[in-house]
Amino acid sequence: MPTHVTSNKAAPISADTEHCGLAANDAVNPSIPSLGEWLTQPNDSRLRVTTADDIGPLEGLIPSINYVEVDFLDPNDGRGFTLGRQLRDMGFTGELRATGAYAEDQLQYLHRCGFDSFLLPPKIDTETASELLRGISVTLQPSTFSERKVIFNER
Amino acid sequence: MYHYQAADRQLLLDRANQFKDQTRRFLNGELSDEAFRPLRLQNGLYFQRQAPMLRIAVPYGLMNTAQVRQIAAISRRFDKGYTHVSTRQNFQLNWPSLEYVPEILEELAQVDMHCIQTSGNCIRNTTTDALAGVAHDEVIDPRPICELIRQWSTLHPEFAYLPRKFKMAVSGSANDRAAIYAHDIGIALREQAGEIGCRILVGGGLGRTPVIGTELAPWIPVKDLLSYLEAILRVYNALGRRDNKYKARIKILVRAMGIDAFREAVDREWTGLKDGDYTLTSERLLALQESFTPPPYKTDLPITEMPVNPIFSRWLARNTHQHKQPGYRAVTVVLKGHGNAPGDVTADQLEFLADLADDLSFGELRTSHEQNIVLADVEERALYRLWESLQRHGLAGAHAGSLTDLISCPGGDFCSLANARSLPVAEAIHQRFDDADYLFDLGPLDLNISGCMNACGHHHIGHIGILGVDKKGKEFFQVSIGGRQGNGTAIGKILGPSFSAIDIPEVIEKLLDTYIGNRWTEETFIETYDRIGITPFKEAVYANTRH
Repeated sequence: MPTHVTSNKAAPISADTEHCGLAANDAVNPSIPSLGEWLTQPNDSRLRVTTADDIGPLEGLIPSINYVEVDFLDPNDGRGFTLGRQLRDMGFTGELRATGAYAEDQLQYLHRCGFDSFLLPPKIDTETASELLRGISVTLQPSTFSERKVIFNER
Repeated sequence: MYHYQAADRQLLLDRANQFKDQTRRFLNGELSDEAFRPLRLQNGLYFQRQAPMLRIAVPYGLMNTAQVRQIAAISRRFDKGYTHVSTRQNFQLNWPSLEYVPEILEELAQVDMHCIQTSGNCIRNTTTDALAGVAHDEVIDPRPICELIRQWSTLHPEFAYLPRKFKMAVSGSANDRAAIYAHDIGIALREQAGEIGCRILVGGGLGRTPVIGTELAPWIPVKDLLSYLEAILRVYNALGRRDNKYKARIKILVRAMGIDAFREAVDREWTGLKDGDYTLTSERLLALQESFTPPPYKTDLPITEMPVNPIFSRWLARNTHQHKQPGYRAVTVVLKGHGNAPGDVTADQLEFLADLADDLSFGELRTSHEQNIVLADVEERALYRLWESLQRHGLAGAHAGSLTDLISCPGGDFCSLANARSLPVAEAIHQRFDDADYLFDLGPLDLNISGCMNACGHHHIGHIGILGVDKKGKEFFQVSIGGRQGNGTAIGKILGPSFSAIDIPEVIEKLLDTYIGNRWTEETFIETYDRIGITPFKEAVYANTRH
């Protein structure tokens, strides 16, 4: 796995999330509340957001969440990368899953931005995904983490 | 210069392998055009009119001679034996084949070079003053800070899919020669009580909406620079427009939010990032600074009597620059002349320049924003010898900073975005104004040409700017005057209706005649313009013409 040249911002978080909240093989799991729904009724430990959502209102509510699913609306829309890091910077330690229209060549960047769970794009198997996650073996800047166990859930 | 460490080298090898695999998947159909596009762009690869174009990064314009020789060898082996220096101090290959690009990347990696982030919607190569480290008016050497930014921005996981491209420039001198007011982020280094600080400008840029950068912060301690930059990029990535690529640059966001609201948003992000892992320790700063310690200058050089030769004297006055170190000068080798596109340089010329640099300038060369090559550390007593060799290789043009040292994008001959062909216009100007005495008498004059409103030729900040426009499928050129770069950066004013290519040399001649007819002794073009305004120029150009 990647080695760090500079120190890592957050120490790798021990993953007890291996079986946590695996979504069904659909892009969107309707049983998981959307951000808007969750904010009006925050009684689920899971929620889903899209890359267009402002997660600012979650500040301070993080301890009650253990699963966030981020739906990427477009592979060229990089807001999801910032969103992942903002969530981790808020102290979120649960499972952070990327779903939707991200590209397989973004897996490593996503992982470094705090995503540790992926609903893989069509035609990408876990073996290919594992290789893509290892593409670059060194990093020149600290990132959220890069050694946490990764969960795949193939489409 | 900064010496690559094991990690830097490993990163380049990994990246070359990664791109090899991406190219393979594209060629065998696993990746669509659309999916491959951002991947190839982030490796500097464009698909252009004639062939792919590959842009090679020259971090802040600094190279050693092994790198220059490798570029020459690559251009011979994989291209047509010449390359092009861009306004972002990079090299461009205009004719490589896609299937050889991975091999080119491997060969570049052998000399610690690459094409990473030379295109695409990511943080591009950071540029600086071509006289960094040697300029007589320098306060802080900007190169260690440029290197810091290079490391931070290289394969940054969060900022590879920004709303649009992102360009930064750093200046460490009293006079800005890095165009920091025309960048997404401009950084002016300052010193106060032994501490280094950064004045941060944001939202400058040319393109179709030219804007002069606004001050975001007057003083960010250098130890906090990276966390502050990260905060700016984060706000831009989260809030920048993605619905319209012409409104996606940070300047549009800053303008829409207002500088105060933008600053508040940055400060809010910064609160969480400041004093974290990005804090620059004094040891790390020192290590970066030690990568750029001055070469072993001779301190006992005798005062040199320059040979009397009018052609040499003109070159000396125009193409060499005052140096921090007594007894030395920095030399500009102008890559503009008859029959070659501005910034083009052949493999033979590159090898010759590398030999010269090994012999006379401590084995380093620089590319400049003006699309020239600079030898930064030449002993005064070697200048005549250097000039004689440059002459033998057709590189002794004494027109640095003059009308014919013009900046031009590759234009419609190469670029698929361009509305008009800028190179024939550049060539016509060279032909019309080839009298060295006349050019010398004209004094400093920036003429910049862009083939379209993306403004790669920086036409807005030329004293005379020329912009290619399309009118019902025919190419025309709009002329502006009064623009300038540096401390008083300003956008030029459009003169009036546009002209056909064939009229441009005459239009310029009329502008110059107006200047010469009105100037006071020693007054430069831009000073005369400031005194008399646009009207006399307008009248001279449009008198007796039908539009």
